[in-house]
Amino acid sequence: MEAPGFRGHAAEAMAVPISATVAPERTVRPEQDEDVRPDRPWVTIVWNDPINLMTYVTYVFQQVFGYSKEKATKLMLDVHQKGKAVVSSGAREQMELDVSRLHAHGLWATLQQD
Amino acid sequence: MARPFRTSRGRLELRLESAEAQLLEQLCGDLLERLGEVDDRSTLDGDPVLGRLFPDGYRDDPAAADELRSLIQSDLREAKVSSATTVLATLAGLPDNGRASLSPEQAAAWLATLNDLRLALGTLLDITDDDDPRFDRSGQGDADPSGQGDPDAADDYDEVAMSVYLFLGWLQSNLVDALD
Repeated sequence: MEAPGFRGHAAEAMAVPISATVAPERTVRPEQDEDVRPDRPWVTIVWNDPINLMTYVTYVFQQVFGYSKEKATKLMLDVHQKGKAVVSSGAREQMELDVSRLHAHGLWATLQQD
Repeated sequence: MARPFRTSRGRLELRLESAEAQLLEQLCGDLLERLGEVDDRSTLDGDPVLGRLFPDGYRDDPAAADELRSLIQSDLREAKVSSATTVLATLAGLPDNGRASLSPEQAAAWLATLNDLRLALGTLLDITDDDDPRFDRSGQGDADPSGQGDPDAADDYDEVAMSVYLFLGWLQSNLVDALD
């Protein structure tokens, strides 16, 4: 593979990735056992990852959810700084749709009952 | 250096050097090849790149994750294939000056594919921190396609791959700014 002189882009590119000092862990959470009360809403969560650019994540939140730039930026910063953020909530089917749309944009999204 | 993407009179303009276009063409071909391997869940197990391109929708419920995957994975794969194919078509149609106008649909395909390429390459490079992209891989080299027991070859590969990764980040960042 050839890569003629792309090093020059490094400084600009490295200024923007959304960071992931803590990758999502696959752990079973005991409190999730049998609580299936129907009134508990479902939520879509976006997890921090080290590859997606911060500006891109903000852009995707605007595109997928129609959020304002301010709201999208705040959610992106929550993901970046807290490791995750709830980006939408509602019926399970809607959250599965949201997750699939976020996956189509390459974001690391999951849904769960709140 | 000229910006690869810019908005001019309401239209998104692309401008690439020929070497950049050739590199992207190769990367898109590689991506399409990997996407062609995706048919069911079994192909993703143990494959970090495909696992990142097609993540689980549930973290703590494998059965629900599998069920959702069965519902959306095919469409997700088709969308990725379509985007990469669109990018290849743009590249194939580039005139000698490397310039083209992109429709909103083409721009969306470029954005999605640049992101897929970065996810794939970043996963291969085991990117874990935005401050410290490592040119010197510590450890096993488990995701190193060129690693045949020759440490120098592995280092060269990583250095090239990291350069390409940064190039893709620069392109994508530029495209987001142009669309914003």
